[in-house]
Amino acid sequence: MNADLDTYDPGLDERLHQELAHAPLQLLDPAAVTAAGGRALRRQRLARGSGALAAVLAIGIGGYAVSDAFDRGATPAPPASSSTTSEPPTVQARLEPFSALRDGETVVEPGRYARFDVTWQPSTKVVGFSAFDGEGTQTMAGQFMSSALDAPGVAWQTMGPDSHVIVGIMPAAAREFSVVAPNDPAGGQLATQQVKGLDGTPWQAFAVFFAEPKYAAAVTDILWIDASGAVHDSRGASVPAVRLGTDADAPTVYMSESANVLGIFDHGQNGQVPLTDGSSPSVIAFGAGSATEMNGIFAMLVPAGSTKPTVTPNAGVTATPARIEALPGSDVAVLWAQTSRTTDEATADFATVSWTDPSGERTTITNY
Amino acid sequence: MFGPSKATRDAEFTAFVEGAQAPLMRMAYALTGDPHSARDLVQDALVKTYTAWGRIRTDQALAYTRRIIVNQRIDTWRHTRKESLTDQLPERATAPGDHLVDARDSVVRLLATLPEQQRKIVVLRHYADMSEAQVADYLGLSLGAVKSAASRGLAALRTHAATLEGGLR
Repeated sequence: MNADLDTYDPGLDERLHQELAHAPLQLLDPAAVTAAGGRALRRQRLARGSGALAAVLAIGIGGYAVSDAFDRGATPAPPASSSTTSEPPTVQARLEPFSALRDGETVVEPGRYARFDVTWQPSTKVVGFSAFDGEGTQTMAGQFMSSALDAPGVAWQTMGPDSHVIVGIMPAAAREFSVVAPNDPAGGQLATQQVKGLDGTPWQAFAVFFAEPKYAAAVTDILWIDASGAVHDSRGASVPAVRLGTDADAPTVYMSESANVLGIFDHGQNGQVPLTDGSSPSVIAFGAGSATEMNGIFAMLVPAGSTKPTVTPNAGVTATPARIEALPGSDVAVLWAQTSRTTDEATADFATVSWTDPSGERTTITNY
Repeated sequence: MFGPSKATRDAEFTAFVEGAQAPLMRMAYALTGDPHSARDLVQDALVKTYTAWGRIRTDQALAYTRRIIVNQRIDTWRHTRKESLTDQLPERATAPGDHLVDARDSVVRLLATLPEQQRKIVVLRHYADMSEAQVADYLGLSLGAVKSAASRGLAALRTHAATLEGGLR
């Protein structure tokens, strides 16, 4: 056989070009892409300046409502400019519209919460918000105070008892965030989020649209990660976290005892699991890929000071040698390995996971 | 020396997106096998291109964006065995008429069965018309690794294609 035909097939070349010439492309709105690029650039610049901004922060963030003005269409949003010359001007951010959430055959439209304007008044620390439907008609407005806390945290408000949405503000330094809510036994919550900087302030507005309204009302915490990899909770407190590996793009694993979760930030691929009661280790594992090749991370909490980690992959799974990283600020460490699955069997990654705790006792668990 | 104004930059970039998005989208579709994922992939790459717009020449922008697409992690569905919450999910919509595509996307569907690296190499060789050396440079691989992956990828495609009428050729 011609060696070249081992690596190049003119027939494939022709078929591929033919197919792609008629591909079902979903073209983008160029102006919207440009606007998104502008926002990304602004976020980059804000993130670079966030250290200096944080040093002068004296703003308390809380979440108690001073107004439940949820009368549809009647209450105007707070004004976009100051009413007195002594007050700094109110800052406004217009969030991008939510698109429908789809999960298989189920489609949840954002309805009257399609888009939000969020305002921030630096002197009064009042967050105002207005909701609009897909036609641009204002459907709701309200405001809440955000002065209850004294650290750069997160303040949010649900949009009524049957709302699918929370809206609020968080530090501009937040590169990504993850919402904590009671777990669905079926696993997973379908949600999407929008973020936009409040220009000239150390804050950014955000909104999260959940497929099911029960989650919006049940949010207990919002955890966020900054550009340095530090993780914080909604009160602005530091959350024990560690980057898995030396790569700047490596995922960060965190454990929040107050939020009762073990979680991971991996550049948009974020997740959490509840901490166990101690009868079994807390583990988070996820991957990205196809049915025939999926690369992922396995992370498990073990006692701080544990050593000699080993893992025995199940069939169809390969893994890097297990490592243990200290989780500063906690009494646990993270045993972790990168995994690669070439099977779609619903098996555990590992037949065994072992480590030696600080007392010298060797522990082995199976099927994780 | 000051760079172009934001208005100028935005106008240039918008014009670039108008002209470049279709070829970028086709490549992304070949890489992902899914028009929705392709759209997300291209949008993400274009946003990154915007943030670098002041550093790249206009005539390099297409190649720059294409490189971002190819070097991204293409497959993003997640193993959720022990995961309970997701706050940022890709849409997985099935658009009206998607079923009509099935009969004319057999090669793209075959590509989707390949591991990501092999798929990237096959697409760069057969759609972007790159030489093996160019692909190696693009992906930061050795020439031997590209040849090996291309060979394995083509062999796998031929095996799968043998079950389809007419095969690849």
